[in-house]
Amino acid sequence: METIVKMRDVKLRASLFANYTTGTVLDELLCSYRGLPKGVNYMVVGDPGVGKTTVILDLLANVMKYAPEAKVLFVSAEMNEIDLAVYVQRFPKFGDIDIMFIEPDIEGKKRHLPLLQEQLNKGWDIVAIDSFNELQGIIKEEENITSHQAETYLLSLIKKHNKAMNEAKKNTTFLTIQQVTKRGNFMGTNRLKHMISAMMELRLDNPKNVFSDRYIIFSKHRRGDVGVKLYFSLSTTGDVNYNERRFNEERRLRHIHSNISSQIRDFANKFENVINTKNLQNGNS
Amino acid sequence: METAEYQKQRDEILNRPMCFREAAVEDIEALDDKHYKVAGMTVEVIPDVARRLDKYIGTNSQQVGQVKRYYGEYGATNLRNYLGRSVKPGKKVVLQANATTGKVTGVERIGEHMIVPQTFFDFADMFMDRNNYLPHKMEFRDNRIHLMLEATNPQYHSLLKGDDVLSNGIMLSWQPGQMAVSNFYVRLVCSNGMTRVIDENVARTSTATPQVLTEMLYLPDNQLLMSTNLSTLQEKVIEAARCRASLREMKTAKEILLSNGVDDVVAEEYVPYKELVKEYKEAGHRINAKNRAYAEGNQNVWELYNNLTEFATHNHEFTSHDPRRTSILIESMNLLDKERDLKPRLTLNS
Repeated sequence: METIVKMRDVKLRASLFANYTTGTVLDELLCSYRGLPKGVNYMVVGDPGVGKTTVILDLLANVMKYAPEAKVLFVSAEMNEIDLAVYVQRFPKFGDIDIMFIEPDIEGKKRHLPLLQEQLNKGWDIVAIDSFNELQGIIKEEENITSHQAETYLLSLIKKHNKAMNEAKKNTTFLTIQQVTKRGNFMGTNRLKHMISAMMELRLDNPKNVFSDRYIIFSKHRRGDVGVKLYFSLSTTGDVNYNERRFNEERRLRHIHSNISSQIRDFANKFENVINTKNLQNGNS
Repeated sequence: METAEYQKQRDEILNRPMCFREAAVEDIEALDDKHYKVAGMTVEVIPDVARRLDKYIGTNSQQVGQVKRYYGEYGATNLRNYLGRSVKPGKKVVLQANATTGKVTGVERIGEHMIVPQTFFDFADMFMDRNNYLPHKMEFRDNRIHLMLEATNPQYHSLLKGDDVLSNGIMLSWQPGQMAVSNFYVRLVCSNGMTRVIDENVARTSTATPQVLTEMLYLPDNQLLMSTNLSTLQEKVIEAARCRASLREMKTAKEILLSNGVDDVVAEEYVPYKELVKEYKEAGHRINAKNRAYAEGNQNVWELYNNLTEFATHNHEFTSHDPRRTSILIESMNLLDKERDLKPRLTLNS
């Protein structure tokens, strides 16, 4: 692309804006025009045990159900094959997702960055990374570079594939799970925070009680609404159950709230008219 | 109440010419007893509004009156403005003007913003839809709405032997500065109403943010919260049935009626306070503020309470929509909640 452009001269394929659908109410949250957009980078954060990996795997499995031709990859730097085998036993629908396992190589013979680059260059529609922090740490050790440099490599990789710079010319969407601090805050640099398209947070109503209600909320969102909660629960059968009714109620309440300012202005205008009319009649200033 | 009737009344209220203006207390400038300057406009207020404004700035009509006696109108105005400017920043009120007379007829404190009637009704519709309630009755005036709801699945509870109540009614209340969700009970024997705010912390709000409205929307899911008032009410009712009303309690009950605009003759029919004072006088006892609290009335507190709620629910003095009916119910409940003046006694004649 030229250094300086006018947006009216930028031509983009219409298919770039055809989102991936999960067939659930989560689509309403992922984007204002429904579904998971192409070529974006969503960071997924949340309290430990809230269900980040489950929700993301469920999202990937649902996308595959509605778009069987979609190429979907889960990069697992947190769980190994044994961990995921137990997971898949509990959630069988995750068994068909392509997975790339990345584990620190104690002997120091393996380098995962070139392997990751090679895989991504093939072109994927959606890539989920679990977790960014873990992957960054492994690359930092293997490449013998700083954390900042490892972060730079990964962000460059993500940006490159967002823009379809791969063999299959696919605008890859990244869902990057990130860890949080003990206080539940995003663990990462400001640069990382600024370079993502959206921050998807999975939270517990009561962080001290793992059995309290769970919800998804976007605290930053270039493609959708911020601050709207979507409550969910994790069933034993493998599906993530979204509380669609509650989500619609909250959206309706937000809509009600958004109209208040204009109504208050209307009342104030009427007040002013009534008072001014009276004052004119009485000859008051 | 048919849903169509409710919608008609709702639309009538929303289409009324309502004139509200938010203002910071420190920005309201007194010009004299009846005139203030708000946002560059000179407004004329009714005496009740002036009294409330005095209260919000930390004074009262007696104090202002004293200053006026010694320093004239000018001194009283200066006092008001001095106190008004000293109020903690951020305190807001909403003024209501009468569209016909152009006078300011209402003022009340608000949170960050007033709660508009449209928000109340939108919330009410969602509440009924989600929690399976239907509109039962609505009372409204310029700045008060009480909407009583009945559950599609009514539940009953026994307060006293032979005195059952419909126990899962709800009342939604609106005024410009707040919204509240209350339990609403109906005694089956006489169909008198009784009301109690569910929990001040979660069921009353001065800000209609989505978070707060969501909490209020889900209140009926919390069975413990919903039933707490009923348990408390039952305890109070049992105690009230065992305790004689004192003359002080009877005076309070009568004042509830009088302060809601009930004629003294009518109020005396329901609460014969004057009659009792006269009887005591004839028996040689002069009733005053000191002995009122331990002078026995002619009924127990439960009967006294029921007289008030009977008036509130069934009187022909007010229109059926008049929110003073519910005001009396609320104030009667406050009377029932108070500690009893006269504890139950065991006597030889018991």
